[in-house]
Order: sequence, then C-alpha cells, then structure tokens
Amino acid sequence: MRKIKKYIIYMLNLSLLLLSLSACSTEKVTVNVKPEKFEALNSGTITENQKYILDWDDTQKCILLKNKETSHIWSTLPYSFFLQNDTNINLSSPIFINYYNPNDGSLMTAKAFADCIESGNLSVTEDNGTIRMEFYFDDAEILVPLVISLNDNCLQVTVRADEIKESGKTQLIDISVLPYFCSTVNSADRSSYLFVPVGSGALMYTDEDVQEFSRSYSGEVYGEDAARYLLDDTANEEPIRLPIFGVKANDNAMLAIIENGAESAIINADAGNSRNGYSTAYATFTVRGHDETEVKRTDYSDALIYAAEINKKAVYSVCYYPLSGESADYNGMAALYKDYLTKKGSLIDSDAEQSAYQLKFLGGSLVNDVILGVPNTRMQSATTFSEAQDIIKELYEETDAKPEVLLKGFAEDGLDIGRIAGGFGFSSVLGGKKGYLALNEYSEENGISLFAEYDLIHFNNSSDGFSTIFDTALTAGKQLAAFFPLKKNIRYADENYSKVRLLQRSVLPNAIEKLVNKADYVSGISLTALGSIAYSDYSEQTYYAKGGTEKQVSNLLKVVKENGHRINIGKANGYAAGIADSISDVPLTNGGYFGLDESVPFYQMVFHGFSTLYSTSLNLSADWCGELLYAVESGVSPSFTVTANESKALADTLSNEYYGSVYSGIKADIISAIKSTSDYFELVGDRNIVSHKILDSGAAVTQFSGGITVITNHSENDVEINGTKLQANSFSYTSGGVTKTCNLTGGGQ
Amino acid sequence: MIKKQLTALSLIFIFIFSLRLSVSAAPTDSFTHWDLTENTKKAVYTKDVYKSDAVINARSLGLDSSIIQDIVCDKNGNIYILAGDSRILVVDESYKLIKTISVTGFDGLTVDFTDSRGIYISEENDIYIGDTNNGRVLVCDAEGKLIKEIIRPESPILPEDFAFTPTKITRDSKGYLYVISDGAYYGALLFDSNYEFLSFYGANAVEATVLSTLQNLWDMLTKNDEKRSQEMKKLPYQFLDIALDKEDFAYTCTGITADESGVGQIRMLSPGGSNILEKNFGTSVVDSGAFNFAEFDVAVRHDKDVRQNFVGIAVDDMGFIYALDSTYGLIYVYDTDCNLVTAFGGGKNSGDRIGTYSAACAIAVSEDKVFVADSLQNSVTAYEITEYGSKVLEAQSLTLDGEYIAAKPLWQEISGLDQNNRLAMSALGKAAYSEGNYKEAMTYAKMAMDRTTYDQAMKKNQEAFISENFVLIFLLIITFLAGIAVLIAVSKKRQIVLVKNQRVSIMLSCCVHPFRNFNDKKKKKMGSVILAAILSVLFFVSAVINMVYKDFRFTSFDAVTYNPVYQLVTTVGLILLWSVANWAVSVLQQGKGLFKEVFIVTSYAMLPMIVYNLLSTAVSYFINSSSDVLLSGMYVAAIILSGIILVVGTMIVHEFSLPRFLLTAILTVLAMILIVFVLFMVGMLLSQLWQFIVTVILEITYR
Repeated sequence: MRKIKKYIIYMLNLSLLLLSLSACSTEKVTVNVKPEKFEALNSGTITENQKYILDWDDTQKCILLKNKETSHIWSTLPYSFFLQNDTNINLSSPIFINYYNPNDGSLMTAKAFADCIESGNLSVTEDNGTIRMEFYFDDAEILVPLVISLNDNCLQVTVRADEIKESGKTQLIDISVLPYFCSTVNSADRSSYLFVPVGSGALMYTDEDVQEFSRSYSGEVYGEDAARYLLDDTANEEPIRLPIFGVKANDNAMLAIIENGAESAIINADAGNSRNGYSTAYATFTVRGHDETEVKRTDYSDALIYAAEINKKAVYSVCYYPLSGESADYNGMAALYKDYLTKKGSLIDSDAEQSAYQLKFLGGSLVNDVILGVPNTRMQSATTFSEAQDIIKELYEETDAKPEVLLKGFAEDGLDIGRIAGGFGFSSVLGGKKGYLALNEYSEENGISLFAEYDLIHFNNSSDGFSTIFDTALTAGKQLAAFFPLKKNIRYADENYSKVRLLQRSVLPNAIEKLVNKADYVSGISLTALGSIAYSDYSEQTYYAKGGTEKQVSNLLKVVKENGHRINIGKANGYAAGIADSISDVPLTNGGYFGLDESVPFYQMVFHGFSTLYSTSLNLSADWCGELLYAVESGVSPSFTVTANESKALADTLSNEYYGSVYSGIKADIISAIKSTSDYFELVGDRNIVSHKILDSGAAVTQFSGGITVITNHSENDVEINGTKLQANSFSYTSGGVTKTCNLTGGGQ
Repeated sequence: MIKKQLTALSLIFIFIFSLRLSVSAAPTDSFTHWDLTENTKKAVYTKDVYKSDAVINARSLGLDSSIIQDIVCDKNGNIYILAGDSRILVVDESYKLIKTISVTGFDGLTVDFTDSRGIYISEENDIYIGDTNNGRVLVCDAEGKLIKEIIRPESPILPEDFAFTPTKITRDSKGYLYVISDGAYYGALLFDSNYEFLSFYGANAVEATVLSTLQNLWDMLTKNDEKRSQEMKKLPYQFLDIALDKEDFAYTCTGITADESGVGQIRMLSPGGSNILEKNFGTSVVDSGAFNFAEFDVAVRHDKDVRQNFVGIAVDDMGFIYALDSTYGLIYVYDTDCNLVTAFGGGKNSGDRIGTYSAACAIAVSEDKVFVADSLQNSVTAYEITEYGSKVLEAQSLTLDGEYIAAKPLWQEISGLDQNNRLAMSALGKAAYSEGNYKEAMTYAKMAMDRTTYDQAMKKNQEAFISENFVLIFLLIITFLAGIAVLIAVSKKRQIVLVKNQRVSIMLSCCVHPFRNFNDKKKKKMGSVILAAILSVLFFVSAVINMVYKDFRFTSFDAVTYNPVYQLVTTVGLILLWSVANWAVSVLQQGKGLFKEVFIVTSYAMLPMIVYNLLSTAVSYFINSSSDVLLSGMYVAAIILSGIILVVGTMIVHEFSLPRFLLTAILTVLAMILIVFVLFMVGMLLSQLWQFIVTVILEITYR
C-alpha cells in the first residue's frame, strides 16, 4: 500500500513536471517596450571637428553634415528636399524596418516617418557630441535605437542589437539605416551616379526613368547566405564582395563603409526614381535570417521561416565618408577605401609577383562505376602532377613567360565534394604526395608560384573527425544545412547525388588546424570556398545571419599565413582578398544585373599591387577576346583552365569546367593570348591603379603607378584618342614615353 | 512634332548607347543533350554558342514603357517590336530606334490595335499585325498605312462558334498567309495571296492510346448524345507559334502538350500539313510528334510538376530551329535532325540578370543574332553568336548536307574546344567513314553514341576482316566443328563424364531434361541449396554484366542513375519472393515441396537467363543494331525455357497437376504482391523511426 502511494506521488510529480514544461509553449508573452517618455533635442550644432559640422534639425528630424571647406551639406533628408520644408514618407524616414507577425504570418514594412515621427514616437538625445535616436514602431511594438557620431573623417551610424527591444508581438527582420543620406538628385548627365560593388564594381546613372519606376539593385554583401534553403535557384550569383557603396553628386561624393555587421548587410541602390526625384544607395541589416519553404494549409503557398532569435552580440554600423573635388568619384572612393583597409591592417602588401598568366589545372573527379553490380566511385584523372609539369614547361618554353599555377581537384576526392579538404591529401591516381613534391620542386626552381586548392566548407562524408550529422551547420529553420546539387539543365535539386553539407562555423578552426598540420609540405594553399562563401550557422548565436564571418575567416587565414603558407583565394570577398597573396577568378564585370549601367574595375583598383590578380578562365568564357580586354583594362593577368586528358566520364560529373579545357585543343590560343599580353602584364603586374576613366567612345583609360597608361577599346569601331587611332578589340599602353599597341582579334575563341 | 521627338530621343541614345555593355559573365551555363535512348537524355555543359549582347528596353530607346507582345526581324536585320499600346518600334542592328510606327486607317485615323499579339514583316516590308482583341489581321505598308484588314472569313469550313483571334502570323514566298488564332485547335488558318481563306493547315493530332480508343468505344455503346456532350472532349493542342524556313517549310511549336510527358513540341510541316520532322535514335527513327524536345527533368513546386512551355519558334537561314520555353526561360537550338545544338538562357520566371527571363514570350532570329522578348521585363535581349558557335552551326550545316569531308576540319577544331560536343564526334565519325577509315569511324561513333554510323562502319570493318582472313576463318570454323564432333564421339565411346559432380550435372541438365532431373533431385535429394544460392548470385551478376558491359548500342546503362538495389530486387529478390510465396501458398494447397526445394527449383530455372545474359552481352559486340531481333529472340527463348523449368520443377516438387499448379501460381503472385506491400510498409516505418532517432539525437546535441 505504501509502495502504491509512493508510485502515485511519483506519477503526480511527473504529471506536474510535464504540465509545467508544456507551459513554455505557443502562448506568447509580450512585454511593454514603449518608452514612457519621448525626448526631443533642440535644433542646432551638436558637434564639429576640423572638417565637418554635425547639426540637428528638430523640425524635420534631420541630421545635417556640413563640409567646412566646400560648404556642401549631406543630410538624412536629401538637402534639396530639406530646403523645401516638405515631408515625404520615404525621404523623411531615417530608418525603415521589416517585421514579421507570427500570428498571421505577414511580413510588414514600417517607415520611421509614418510610424514614429508623425506619431511622436521618436526620442532624440545628445550625449557628448553623439546623437541617440530611439524609434518606437507602435504597430510592431519594436524599439530601435540609432547612435550617430562624428568621427575624424566620417559620420558613423550604429545600431546595437542588444539595445533593440521587441515586445514579443512581432519579430524584427531587418533595419535599413539612413536610406537617403547617400543620395543625389536625379540627373540626366553622367556627373552623378550610384556606386555598388557588385562583381568588379558597378555604376548606376541617375537619369530619371522615362518609365514610372526606378531602376533598382539589391544584393547581400558577400553573396546570398549559403546556409539558406531556397525554393528556386534561378541563376549563378555575382555577389557584392566589398562592404561599401557610394554616390557621386556632381562635384561631391560619398563613400559608405559598413564597418560592423557587413556580413548581415544588404546593399540597396535605387536609381532614377521618378516618384521622388532622387537616387539613393543604402544598407539594410538583416537581424533575423530565414529559410524559404512551401506550406500547405488549404492550398500550397511559399513562406519564409525566420530564425527564432536574433544575435544580441551583433553591432551594425556604417561610416559615411564625404568626398569632394577631384576625389569625388569612384577613383576617390577606391583610394579612400584602400587607405581605410591599410590603416585597419586588412590590406597586406604581398611580396608575390604577378605572373603574366595563370594556369588552373583540374586534377580529376570521382566518377561512378559498377563492379559486379556494386556501384563504387573511382578517381578519373584529368591531369596528373607530371602532366601538369609537362604543360607548364611547354608553355614556359613557348612563351618565355612564367605562369602562376593553381591545382584544383588534386585532393583525394578530386573536384567533387566529399571529405573536408578532400581528405587533406593528394590523390594517388594523380601522383600523390610524391607527384606534388616533384612539381613543387620544379616550380620553386623556376620561380613559379604553385597553389593547391582545399575546400574546408563543403563536405558529404564523415572523415578526419568531421561528422556529417554533428558537424553540419544549421539553417535559420534549424535544419541541417545540406543541399542537393543542381541539375545542369533546369537548376533543380539533383537527387542522384548526395547532399552537400556546410561545415559548422565553430568547427572551422579545427579544419584549419588539420590543414596546416597535414598539408605542411604544401607551400601555396588555395582556400577559395573559405574566402568567397559567407554562411550562417544557427547552432551558435554569434554566427546568426552570417555574423562574424569577416573576423573569423580573416583570423583563420592569418593562421595559415603564420604557418608559412602562401594563400590564394578565388573570387575572394573583401575580408579575405586583403590577406591573400593571390586572387584568382577576379570579377571583370558587374555581372549584368538589370539596373546596373556600367562596369568599373573598383575591386582591382583596391587590391591591384597588393595581391596578385588573375581573371576568370578565358577559355571557358563566351567571349575570350572581350574578357581579355577587360583583364588588360584592370591589369588582371589572364587565367586558363587546363586538363591534360579528356574523358567522357568527366563530362558526366557536376563540374562545369571540363568541357573546354583539354590542353591540346586550346594550346594555340593560350600561346597567342600570352604572347600578345605577357609584356604588358609583366610591366603592370605589381603596380597600383591610380585612376580609371571610361570615355564617351566606350574606350577606357587606366593609369597605373609608375606612369603607365593603358587604353582599351571595347567597342566594335575604331576610336581615336589623343590623336592615336585604336582599332576595335585592341589596346595600347604607354610606359616611359613608348607606346605599344596590340590587337586581340583572333586571339582565341 | 515627330522630328522634335526624334531629336530629343537621339540625345538619349547618345547617352544610353555609349554605355559599355558588359555582360560577359554568363548567369547560367549553356548545355546540350546526350541522347541515350528515346526516353533518356543527359544534360552536359557545353561551350557557349551564343552570348548575350545587349538589352533593348524602353529606357535604352528613350520611350515610355509598354508591354512587349512580339518581335520579328526583317531581311535587313532590323527588329520590329510589337508594343501593347498600338505601336511598333523599329530598331536597327546596333539597337538604335529607327522609327515608331502607328497604323493609319483608310479614313486617315489612327488604328487601335492594343494588346495585339503577333507581328510579321514580309520581304516587301509590309507589316502584318495579329490584332487579337479586335479579331482581325491588319496589313499595312512600311510607314503604317493600312492596306488590308483581314477579318473572320466566311467559310463553311469554319465552325459557327469559331472566334477569329489572330496571335501569330507568317507568310511564305508565294504570298500564302498562315495565321494562328487563339484557341483554334484545327491548325493555322491558311489564306492565299489575295487574303482569301483556303483551309486550316497542319493541326496537331489527339494522341490515341488503346485505352482511349476502348473508352470511346465504350462511351459510344453505353452513353447517349446528351451524356456524351456533357463530357470533356480531348482536343488537339493548339500551335503557339509558327515560322517558315527559306524553303517555305512551316515549323510550329506547341506549348504544354500532355499531362505527364511532353512530346512533339516542335513540328516541321509538309505542304500537306503533316509532320515531317524525325528523330533518329540509331536503332529507331521516331516521328518528332513522339520526341520530347524539352527536358525529362522537371522541377516540382507546390506538389506539381513545373512543366516546360514552348511559346515561340524561329528558323534561321541555315535551317536551325530556335524554340523558346517560357517556363524556365530556356532557348533551344535544334537542327532538322532534332539534334540539340545548344540550350541557353534561364531565369525560371525570376531572372534578374541579362540573359535570364521573367516571362519570355517571343523569339526572333536574324543572321547571327537571336532576340528574345520578355513581357514582364518589357525588354528584348539580343544574343550574338560566338566564334565557336558560328563554327558549330557552319559545320553542322555542312554535315546535314552530307559534306562530311568539308566539315571535318571545322569539327576537329570544335572537338578541341569542347570535348562535350557529341555532334563533333558523330560528324568526325561520318567523315572517317566517308574516307574509308572504319576503325576511326567506329571510335568516333562510339564516343558520340551514334549507333547508325557505328553499325555501318562495323559492317564495313567486318567485311574487310572476313575478306582478308577468309581462309583462316574458314579453317578455324572447320576445326572447331570437327573438334566438337570428335569430342562428342570420344566422350560417348569412352563414356567420359565432363561434369563429375552429380549435383552440378543435374543442375546443368535440368535445362534439357527437366522432368527426369527434377525427379532425380526430389527422389535422390540431389538438389543443392549452395548451388541454388550460387545460381541466384550468378543471375544477379550476369544481369549486371548484361546491363553494364553490353555494347553501347544495346544498353542504356548510366552509372549515375544505376540502382544496384533495383537490380538485386529484380533478380535475387524475385527468386526469394517467388520461393517464399510459392512455398507458403503450396503448403495451404497440400503441396509436398519444402521451401528449400522451391528455392532450388526457382534458382535452377534461372540458368537459361544466366546463359542469355552472358551470351547476349558477348554477341552484342558483333551484331548490327538492326539485328537486335536476334537478341530479342534469344531473350524470348531463355524466358520460355526458364518458365518451363520453373513450371515442371514446381509441379514435381509439390507433386501438383498442371491445373493445380496454375492455381497456386496465381495465388503465389497475389501473395508476392502482399509480401511486397507489407515489406514496403515496414520499410516506411523503419525509415520514419530512423528519422525520429536522428531528430532526437540532433535536438539533444543542439540544446
């Protein structure tokens, strides 16, 4: 009886426990985050330094930044509009937010003017020259504080995630800060433009659209979150690789640098908006990441699953640097940004010499095979180490120019996703460690830079202490970040292949440690995936919304360097590019997004002369000649993807690089391209770009340090520049008073 | 006034067209197909044949935006853009606006043709507008002066309820006008040079299947007219676009053609209106009506297949066919043998880069350029052929004309630039064949999976081999036959036993004397489970060998999609399933056989299949594709022999009469289905259990 009583008590306790646990369920608890009092700040000067005066206008709730030298005023409300003493829901809003209402599943936009300023839900205070604005969005029940301070050369705007308050009724998704601070009045001529760093860099002219709509571009800094479930993948992405944007407004310009939280930022540009007469560029910070999904209630619909929490440690800040006079254009922006990176220690001058060309050898891929009914994979060789050496030797002899060599897919899994870093070794089919050492020895003897590529992010096999279950990153919806590769024709999940997983961010240091230990004999290491892909990991708060990528990756790259390795990175994001000795697959154009007008080599203007730069592979491009001309324009040495052997089996792999790479078929074109340009690239390889200008004729003039000038004619017509006639698809360069001209027509496919 | 407008516009042109068009980094990769069989093809990356060159839109032309409905090119390479607001924009080869045309009626007033959906420009520069909403075709001169208004014809051929809503128009060199009317499934309306309606032309046919025929028959017998009228009628799919080549052959495209597998999207019509486009698969030639020009792959959204929809077609002077799929934004370039030259574009209705689409709606070609209109972006993307592309088109054109030797140098260059180009391999095979290099021809043909050329070259090769070595072959055959005769004679005389192991001997002779041997097996317990297990495994292995190692002309093996589990289930699995089900059923039917015996009988019965698998694999290397009847014959013989052995063996081990065996056989099949169902359910449960365990582990790990 006593025992029964005991059991009953146990059962009751258990029931109580379960009941109490179930209490932490769906019912949302809301708290009041609305400030009891909204404070106002009187109009007037808040602070000033040698260059600028920071004013506050309480009538229009506007911050004004006056340049003492030029008297030009930048303001959160476009200054010409400010003078009209009018209001506009967009122009008069210092911030926009998007928030999600979990009760009805709706995603709403709130603009500060309508939701805070008009209703008096804005508190403005000043503390020691710093303005603090607290926006309370009544419908969303969200409080967002904005801190604005004047630094030596810039105006800094900061949002601290731990100061954001949510009542619990809705969830904050993103914040757009000062959407019209970096703006200009629409203008039909080219004296004004927006600058966005997509691809190599893009300009958007501000001519007012004859249509009713504006031209807009919007892109995530460092590319779309690789750990996001997408319902559709429509095209390859050409991402924003630098955390900056800018505007040129006649004789003035402004460069905005996202100093903190750049990984979580989206850069928006809206050009020629005929509704309000302004063109603007601004940053939006994503505080809650998401997955895309399909939901079925009565019928199917697409929906977003947002992360449950935000990263409270995150700090988001943008610094706005005004520019004037001769530096008020993208050349000035590039110089300023280069200077900024150098001072910050993020742009390290590599002692590597830029070669006249780069050879990317493809080692091989794992191909499917069947032995007695049992499917297995085997390494199909595309190029062995010794074959690579023979090709290098032959090209060197033919052209008398040294290449930089990048070995891709020489690890044990080839170009395929398999183990982390392909198992950290080289495939025995391709010659193994011995083969690599022989090639390395040859390279060192001849002063050739040699890099071997390792993928430390993608994997689909457990090995070397990395588990596919426990070491896979999580998406915003707390799913494993594992995705099927895309079908080649319709870009849809190909379930014939294994899912590709992303390594947990917290495990990346282990992967780097293993790499430097196991590949200690490898002198040059290529870490393209690590340096070009930014992704979230919702297993740890720091890594929410791609958070902490800049710091983490740059620290990891420094570890590799400290261990004596040289680093190559393909398509390097800004934080990695400044550290890399060599950057391959440098974007040559802006990616051709709708709304973008002009390609400018901004990326090259920042990194040329600090790292060695190599183009995307000419032999895989649709327009060999055009690409080479863009490479010449920005001093980026051409690159070629090469294999020694061809195999039907390789065509059936996921790689999109094999089809036009067999050496025997493209040898003549490679030699022709190198012979045409090697003298030029050897001359400009290690020099900085001083200026770049696009002429009305479509030709471009680039000045390198040391007084070297190159003119490239991309048009289909001959042009005359400074009395010199330049044929279509040709370039001329002047150094030491001597001008040489080179026509690229016929120099490749 | 117009002059002033043009001057103002020209200023904008200077601004716009001095922009450097830098769209070289392709947003998607070009691909082509490797046709494996009639129902399988593989997409592989290929070098770009076309590159996006520019985007023409309202901003670039300095005009107000309007929905673009259709585009067409004239003989001079000018592009005519039909805008939705009763305007035609004429753009020259360098994408500059030449003029804007409005149509002036007979009364001198401007004619409204808002939301017209089709435009055509004749050799004489007359403009034909498919004024869809107003049910007419407007014919005007180059300046927009109305010449003729074609309205709904009065003809007994036209059904009473026929609505004339022209969407696409084209005209041949003799002046015959082809008009597609929206919703008309009778084909295109054909008008003579005086615009008199003649007839309908080239309708798609309703696909008739045995089931649909039986259904129709049943309906005829069982339903009255009223009931039949209430049912949905299966109608032919209407053309969405029509184009003519320089020889006046009409090409049509049809959008989504069937519920499951789309076929026959592109047709080339004879003057009589029948389809003359064919696809040669080497072993068979099929009418293009049965060929899928799109992908077998399909994306799934909201539980539904996202199916391709061919909305536009154009033909260039060399006869290459350009078809536009609006669903994925893909542009396909086919030759007249239905070989895919290249496919490019994309965007899946969300394109945000040049060369991708939001709502691709029309396609036009002019010399070396392709233009694709997007009705959502209100833009026209211009593609320019690449150097590589022009070589490919020229080489393939020569090859289609039979000029194999002339095309050879081009193909050699192309194969060096793109190893995935199978057209090059096929053409080089044909060239080698023409030159009499049959071995080389076979090598190339094999690389190209070109069964026809391989067959021809192999035949020539075999003929040459036989004529060169006739005496030796003859002697070898004589020696072989004599050897066998001697062996039989000697073994009979000396009573030599070739297979000494009695169990093996019985197993082998089951094929020849099933009654005698199974009786032996039953009575003398000479059946061997081990041998049966080995035979089961051999059956699996031989099936794999047959699948994997058969000559390429007779197998569709693909290592990527190869499923060993399926192969195992259809061999060893089937043996076990039959054995278990048959034993279980037979026990209820008072059968005497043990499970072991059923398994032995079933496995032994597979011996002919094993022999077939191995023999047909070997034979496949020496026979012609057209001789596949030999392989089919061998297969049927093996099946029949296996069946006989199984029937006889099962009857003997269970001591069943034939009727009883047949009854148990039916019950066995039912039991097999039941077992499969149960296994499937258990498998599902286990899979869910495993997922649950993984989820629990993950939850614990991340909390």
